[in-house]
Amino acid sequence: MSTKSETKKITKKDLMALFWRAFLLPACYSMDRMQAPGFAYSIIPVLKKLYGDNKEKLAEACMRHSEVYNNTFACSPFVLGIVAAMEEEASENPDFDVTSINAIKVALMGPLSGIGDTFFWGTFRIIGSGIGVSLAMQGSLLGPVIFLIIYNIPNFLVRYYGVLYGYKLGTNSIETLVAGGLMNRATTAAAVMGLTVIGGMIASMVSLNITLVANFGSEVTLDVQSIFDEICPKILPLGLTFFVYHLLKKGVKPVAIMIGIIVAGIAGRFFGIL
Amino acid sequence: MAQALLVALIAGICKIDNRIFGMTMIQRPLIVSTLVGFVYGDPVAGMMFGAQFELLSMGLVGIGAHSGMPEITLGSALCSAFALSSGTGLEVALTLALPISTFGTSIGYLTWIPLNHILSERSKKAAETADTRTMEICQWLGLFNYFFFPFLVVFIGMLVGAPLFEWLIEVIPAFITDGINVASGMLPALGFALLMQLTYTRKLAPYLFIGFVVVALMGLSNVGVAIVGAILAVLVFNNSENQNKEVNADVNEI
Repeated sequence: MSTKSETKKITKKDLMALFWRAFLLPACYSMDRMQAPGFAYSIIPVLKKLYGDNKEKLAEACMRHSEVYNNTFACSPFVLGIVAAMEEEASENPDFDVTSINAIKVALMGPLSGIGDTFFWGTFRIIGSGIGVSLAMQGSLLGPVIFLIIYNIPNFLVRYYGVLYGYKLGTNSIETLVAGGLMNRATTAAAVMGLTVIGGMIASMVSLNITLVANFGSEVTLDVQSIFDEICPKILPLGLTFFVYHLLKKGVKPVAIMIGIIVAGIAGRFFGIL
Repeated sequence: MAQALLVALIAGICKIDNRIFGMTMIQRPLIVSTLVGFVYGDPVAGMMFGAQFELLSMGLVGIGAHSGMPEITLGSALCSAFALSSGTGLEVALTLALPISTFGTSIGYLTWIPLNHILSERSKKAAETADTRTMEICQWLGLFNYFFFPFLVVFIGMLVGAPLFEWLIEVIPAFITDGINVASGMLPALGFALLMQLTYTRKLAPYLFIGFVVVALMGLSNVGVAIVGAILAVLVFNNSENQNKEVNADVNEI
């Protein structure tokens, strides 16, 4: 990285071009190379700046970034930042092994999309929609707004600082990230937060009540639901969720489970159980 | 007609959430259906539909190579429009939303997915000659496909589907709609179970139960449980550092 400080071609403005272009990154999806066209599209301004006068080198770089790439969308600016730093080094140092650029990209795809999906789909979105949905259920139009705010603050921060931080890290990125198991720890922490919220939402959002009241002749009745409530409130929704989870793990299709639940609801209502 | 056009426009714009806006979640039913609600002059009713479908589809997310994901953006736009234009039949619309979304996926396989694959091949060819202009055009055309076909499908769906839906509501007997109502309380369990597939492990199970207990027994709100979750996450993060250090220390001693 010492060479970089001597001749810095990439400016903050170029990094911001990466930041903006990364929004369009997933717009052209290839079935085999996935987000590769978008990655190439996003990195074009940097490549033009570095290789602009050398058509051959530019073509080489364009092709390099048309190779397979896929990642959680919010993590891509970070990868673009790293790649910008590496391309800068490659353009200055003829001995630089350009194959290492794609090697780093591929190496980052797995862990970054793992951590990105856990954070964005599995945690921020769950918290945002959990709070948003419960507000919406009370009839407040703030619900959808809060959902978007909670989710998008981390989303845009990660995108913005991702590209800057990625560029700063450059080629050292992998060692820094993997050392000390920082990524694994963060992923586990995100999963913990997501699961806690899911547990809470099973209690507050799933409803399953037995309306059956067993009648044993004169005045002796048994309200089945009250027994369950005595054991633990919301135990039926919890049981149902784990039952569905078990079915999914056995490979039952979600649509089949959905039809099953609807049939159970209709039958339960028909026989006066639910 | 104007309403159908507006609903289709909402579907198209929300569909390109991932493709140009940076995945802001406007693609989710809670947002899509609220916007559709504005078209019919009743955003709150749209939002109510969206909230229920949001719960149901919570686990249906576009992760990695997870292909064949139901097109819930299209499903929620169409079905909330059906529910709102008919005035009744919220439960029926909710029941139809997932099958319609699943059908939407096959439309993707017939339109934007192959078309964008062709564009991506064109882009790769342009890369060989450093034709960055063509590469950029391919990218924007890809975006257009992601917008245009969902727009078109929802527009046609609105024209064809709305009369069918009205008919459906009339012929369905009351005990079935009541039953679907009961089922719609249970359906979020499917959403959460799908979601659990993403992060749930036996080792992390206690955290799910903590979340359950603080709500079921202690009556905490969703904000409350999110705060508890955040605290637990920090604890886990810090403790895992200690564990790492201990392991390192052990290695050094040996």
